[in-house]
Amino acid sequence: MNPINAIIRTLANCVLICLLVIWFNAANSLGDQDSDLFYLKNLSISQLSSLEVTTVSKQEEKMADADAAIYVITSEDIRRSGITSIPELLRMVPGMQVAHIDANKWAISSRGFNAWYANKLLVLMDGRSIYTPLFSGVYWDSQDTLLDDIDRIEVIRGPGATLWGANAVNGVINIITKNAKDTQGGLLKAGGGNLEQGFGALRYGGRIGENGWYRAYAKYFNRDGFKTSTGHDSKDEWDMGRAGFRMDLEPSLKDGFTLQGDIFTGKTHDRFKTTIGLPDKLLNGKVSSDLNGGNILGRWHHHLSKDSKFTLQLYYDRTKRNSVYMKETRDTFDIDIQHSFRLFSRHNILWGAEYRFTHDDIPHTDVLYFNPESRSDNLYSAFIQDRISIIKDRFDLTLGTKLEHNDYSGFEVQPSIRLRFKPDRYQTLWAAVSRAVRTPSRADHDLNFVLHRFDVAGVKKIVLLEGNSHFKPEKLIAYEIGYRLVPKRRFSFDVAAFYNVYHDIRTTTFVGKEAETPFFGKDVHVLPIKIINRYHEDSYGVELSTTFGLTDWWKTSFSYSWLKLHIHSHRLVLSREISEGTIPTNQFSLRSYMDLPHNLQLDTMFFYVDDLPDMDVPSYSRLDIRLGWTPIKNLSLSLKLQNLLDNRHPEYMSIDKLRASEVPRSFYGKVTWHF
Amino acid sequence: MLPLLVVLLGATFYHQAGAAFKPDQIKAAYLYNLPNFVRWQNRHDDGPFVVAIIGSSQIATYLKLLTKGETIMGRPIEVRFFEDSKDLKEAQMVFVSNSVEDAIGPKQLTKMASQGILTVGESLEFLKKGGMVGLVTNGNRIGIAINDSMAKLADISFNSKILKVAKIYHIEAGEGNLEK
Repeated sequence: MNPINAIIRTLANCVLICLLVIWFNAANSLGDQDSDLFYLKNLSISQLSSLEVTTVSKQEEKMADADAAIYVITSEDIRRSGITSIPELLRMVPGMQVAHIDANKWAISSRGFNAWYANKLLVLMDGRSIYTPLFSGVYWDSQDTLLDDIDRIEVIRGPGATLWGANAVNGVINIITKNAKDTQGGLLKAGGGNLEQGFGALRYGGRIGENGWYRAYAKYFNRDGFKTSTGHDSKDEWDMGRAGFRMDLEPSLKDGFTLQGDIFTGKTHDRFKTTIGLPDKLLNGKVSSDLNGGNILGRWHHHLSKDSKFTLQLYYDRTKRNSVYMKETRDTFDIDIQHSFRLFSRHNILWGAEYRFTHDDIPHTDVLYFNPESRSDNLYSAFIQDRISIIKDRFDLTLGTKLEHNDYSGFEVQPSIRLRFKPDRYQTLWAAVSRAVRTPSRADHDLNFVLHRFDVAGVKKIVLLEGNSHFKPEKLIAYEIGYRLVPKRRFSFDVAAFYNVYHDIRTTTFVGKEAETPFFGKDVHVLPIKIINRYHEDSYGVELSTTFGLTDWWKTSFSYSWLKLHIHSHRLVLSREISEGTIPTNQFSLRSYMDLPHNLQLDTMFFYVDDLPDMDVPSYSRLDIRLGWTPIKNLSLSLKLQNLLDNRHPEYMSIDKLRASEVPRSFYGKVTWHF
Repeated sequence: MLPLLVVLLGATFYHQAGAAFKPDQIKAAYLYNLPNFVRWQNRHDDGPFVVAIIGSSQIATYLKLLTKGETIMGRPIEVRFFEDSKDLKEAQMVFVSNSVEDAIGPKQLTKMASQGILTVGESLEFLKKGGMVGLVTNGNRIGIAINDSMAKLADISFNSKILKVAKIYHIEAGEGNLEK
């Protein structure tokens, strides 16, 4: 069916539903607060004394009202899932595609375009961007923190461009850690299993004077590799140590300061296909990478008045990756300011400005060279957003735009318009149209990567993937609509649908003529494959999630997503990664959290992911079970069983010569002590 | 589409059958109901039934909405705001909000009792100081606590319906000991 027709039909249905809902609410025509009072008025004193008081936090209220496809992974979700890494947690979110490529690599995207270097997702850790401008993606192997310190992970599918900037094309992931005042005292945990061979963490939090708190943590893990398709060890094991701190000061009701930082060091192993042209001294194409880095971030927020707040943030980040095929050192410095205030009672204005400086050193290797080897880039951006209240508490319109200047494509404008309608306090209906842009990455522009090395009649030839200094930004216009119902704390229902139109999506093409570049040596013929912008693609889909607290001690949630991608292009398609069959059409997950007597917890998760036909990856189902027990106060034990349904399964195919491996069945036990 | 419709319709009625309310809304509903369960033995006012509010609070806003156009025993209900407890003679019921509780002490509460005013607050501390009724948060709920000694001082008696639900205390003003 023509997708445009489908959207129009869906829209018409939604409007019809809205009208019906309003009609049914006619009895309480006064308004949400008023309809509550009207109800309370008629209760007797004994009925009033048995009413439950709502403790919905401001955060939960904000989420329930949001005019975007937002999903929040709470700290309870993190604890009860028994999941040990941030990328794996994202599986719970409808509309996200998460695939383990090997034991330490993931392909993660939102609403399609999944790939190892999936580039349309912006990821922030406490406001610090962990998206690398090198290939416009995220090095998931380096992103971690003490998971007990994460307050929540907000995932917004759809362009977050206006607020978060270019490169938030298909979504934003906001990882937010707890304020130091919420992590006081000590925490010690340790455990091990077949995949998680050994891990431990220690954290301590205390006070700084009357108005300050701090915490410091250190953690380490050692993870075994996965299995190959024939059941052998794939030798893609990795280990990582990390330490960090956070300090929060609240000297007055008006001001807050935060200072935080982390350092990490680790080593990963991967397997590569030897035709990549790596030096012969490497056996079996095994490559190890040393990863390390650190960051420090400071933030000040100041309340100018009841309706006006201002935040200033600065951070510095350094990362270093070193392996035989790739060496990169990157320094980033960022300063960001945001201010929200109310204007003429109906307008809520949020505006901000940011400057980011990034400098890298990428010395050449036998397979990779960036031209130039070192580069400094500046990014300037500003945004403004006005939320206009048209009918108080019922209907509002948000207009916003972001303006950026980057060193590759110059000025980019990303406007968006959002409408929100609340028929009553429990329901929200929203719609949005936005434009988002993914600016060219350093790799798009400057890359030279040897894909194959071979000999033809004594003549050395290499197939070289080349960047394009005229590479244009990829563009998206997204049409979205959604509905959310949160009638009660224990029940919620959320559905979102989108239609995305992409232009100038990246692909590669065989240039068709041989060349000689002095870099790879004289008499070496180069067959270039160039990175170019393709014409046009669209994708559309629906995401649904619902949580249901069946009783006080049993909570379940269900999510489902459906996604389709259509490519309109007549050019030669060389890269399989960006084709229609690289994303799963259907995915769903079911989770159950049960509190049993004697301080036992039984938590189950089930995931289903459809096949990736263009990658020969079959569909898979995954069942996880976690058993938790708190035998004495402050001490808890847990046992986690993962992937119970099959021995092992692949989730992705080998790409860019990186060999994929299969995710095995695994288990681990853990002890946690609070002191 | 149909299942969606069912969910929506279900939800619009569902929210009335067990949704949670804000504490301030429940307290305002109590204040609205209270005068119906209270007998002022020594007061025979004719004019409007005045409820005095000391201290700013969302509860007052809700109470105003609830009492709009309402009467008690034929007298229109009026909600008035006061800065302190000086000129409260006309009021028959006074609500002291949490925000100013510190400013009202045993002396003022005793004075109000002698004038036959029903004093209502939001905590047990308020009762200890000499208040008559407290709308107290008990975990997930809001309950009523009554200080019978102070009510007696004001010649105020309570209906059996409210006595069944409330927690009764006998504290002389400023005594600070809670005895049931």
